[in-house]
Amino acid sequence: MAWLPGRPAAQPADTQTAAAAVTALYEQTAVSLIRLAYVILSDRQAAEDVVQDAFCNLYRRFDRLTDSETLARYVRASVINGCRSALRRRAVRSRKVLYELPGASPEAAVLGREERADLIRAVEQLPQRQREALVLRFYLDLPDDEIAGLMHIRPVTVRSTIHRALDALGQTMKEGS
Amino acid sequence: MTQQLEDALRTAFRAKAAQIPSVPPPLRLDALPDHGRPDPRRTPWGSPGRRRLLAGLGAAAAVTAVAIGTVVASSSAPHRPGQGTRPAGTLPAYYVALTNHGPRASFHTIAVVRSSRTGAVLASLQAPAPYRDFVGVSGAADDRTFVLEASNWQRNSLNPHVRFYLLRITPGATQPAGRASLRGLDLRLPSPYNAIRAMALSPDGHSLAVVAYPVAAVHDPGTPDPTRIIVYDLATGSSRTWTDQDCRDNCSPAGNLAGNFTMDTIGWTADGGHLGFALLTGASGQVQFRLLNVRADGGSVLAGSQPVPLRAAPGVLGGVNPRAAIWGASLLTPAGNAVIIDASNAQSNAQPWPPQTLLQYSARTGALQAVLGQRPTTPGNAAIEVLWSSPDGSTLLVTGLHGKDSAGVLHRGRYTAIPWSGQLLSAAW
Repeated sequence: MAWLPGRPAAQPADTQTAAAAVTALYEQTAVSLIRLAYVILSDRQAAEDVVQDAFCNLYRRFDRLTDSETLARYVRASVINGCRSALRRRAVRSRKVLYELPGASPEAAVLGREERADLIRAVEQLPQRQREALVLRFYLDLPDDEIAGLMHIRPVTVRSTIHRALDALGQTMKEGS
Repeated sequence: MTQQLEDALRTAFRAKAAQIPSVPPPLRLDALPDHGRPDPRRTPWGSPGRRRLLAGLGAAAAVTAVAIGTVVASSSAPHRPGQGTRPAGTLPAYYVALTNHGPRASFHTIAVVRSSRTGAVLASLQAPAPYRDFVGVSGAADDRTFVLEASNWQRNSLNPHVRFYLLRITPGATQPAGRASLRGLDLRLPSPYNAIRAMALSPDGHSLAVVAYPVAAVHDPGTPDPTRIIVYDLATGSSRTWTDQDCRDNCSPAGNLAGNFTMDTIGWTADGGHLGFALLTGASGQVQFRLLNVRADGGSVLAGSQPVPLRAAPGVLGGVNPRAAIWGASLLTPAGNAVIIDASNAQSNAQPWPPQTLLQYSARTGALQAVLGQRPTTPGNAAIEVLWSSPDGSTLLVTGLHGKDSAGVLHRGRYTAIPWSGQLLSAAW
């Protein structure tokens, strides 16, 4: 049996336990994480890849992560880190969409399609850090301290980043109207 | 303004997120992203050697994932055809569905590769020109290798053309175009044969067995030698043929007796040594189930095969021998231990019509082993079809058992419905 450098050889039972736990967590959380990554990346295939990578990472580090809450937190942070890396590389090529888009959601009906698209486009023009802060606040509804932890910045910086992002967005939308 | 903007942002983000379907793609712990990355050594996976190791771990992971699934699907780890690494009773991880596509008036039948576990689409393939539709599909034991039958058949056409294509799927490929490859096979049907009634890819993916017939024979019953079994070697294109010329009872290998689409109603044993098929005897109207020794050189379908002596059982099919029943599907389990048939009692003209019954017989003794299910026979309803069997027949994938456009996994008497629709004409696992 082969093993990872610096890690004891994986026992079959451990391997199966890890795989089962990771798979179960994937089934519970994958959709919400792919949606989160998609809101950040605006590329569905890239979002799915980021989530796949995050779960593969989780599987690799499974023995260091004990309870399910830790696993969920780890994988969410891993997704956000993965999105950050993907944005930095931005080597994400346009790819053929394999899944059929569902019909318009209730939210979509409330906000006009064009207005929504304009707003999303304006968000995509923001600096990466501001965009990430907006998604964590207004999509995940996370508090400042949790956003700070995920972005490795201070809570006060979170508030100022979001404030600047909203200012910029407001300006862009005003100019566009 | 700020509050308005914040609300608008929340709405826009949620609307955007809602574009992602509620079913995620399958988790690919084994499929590491080699493609589209500038330097694989910089991926979180470290060295290529580590990736190979993790591929192995991923295989175990996927197998475990199977065990906790409701409708079980097998490992997505790469393995070779015929290796038999799938846990007994688990569905292969991927399947190919023949699906109506396009406007109702002019639809084509395309092949759609899907995950058994999630239904997610890996690839959609249209029959290459000049062919119009994919009309048949069969899979090897590795859930990566399939053969598709393309045809340009149109209503009332007496001269359709058929070509076989080898489909290989690579679920871990990052690029959609890399997830499925289609290659034309150089397999020739001898004239005047131009249509296929049943096909089955061998478990190792090396051979293709077909029940071929000339379309003209359907319109002119006097056409001699109407049906034959041909086994092709996919690598060389060579073939061996079993004919029914010495059959005094005007018999012919039957293939799919119920539907218009070519299906696995002939079945290989896992070792590739035998082929189970139904033989329709025209004069007496009876059906035999026979086991053909596929390692022989060809020749007479009667001399080359042995009948399975299916026996009548009290209370089943009105007590008549299954040979005298009307058969829909029939299938030999890969282990060669059992024959599954869908049959109804042909002796009765009573209303309501006798039900269709899914039955399992011992391939060795012909004794009834189990009544797997039953449904009323109603005009317009499709027959029950068995699309896949686990090695010993303890798990079956059936369509039509619970009404039109239904499909489900039947495991030791328990039926679990799976998503299905009238747009799906057939599928192979």
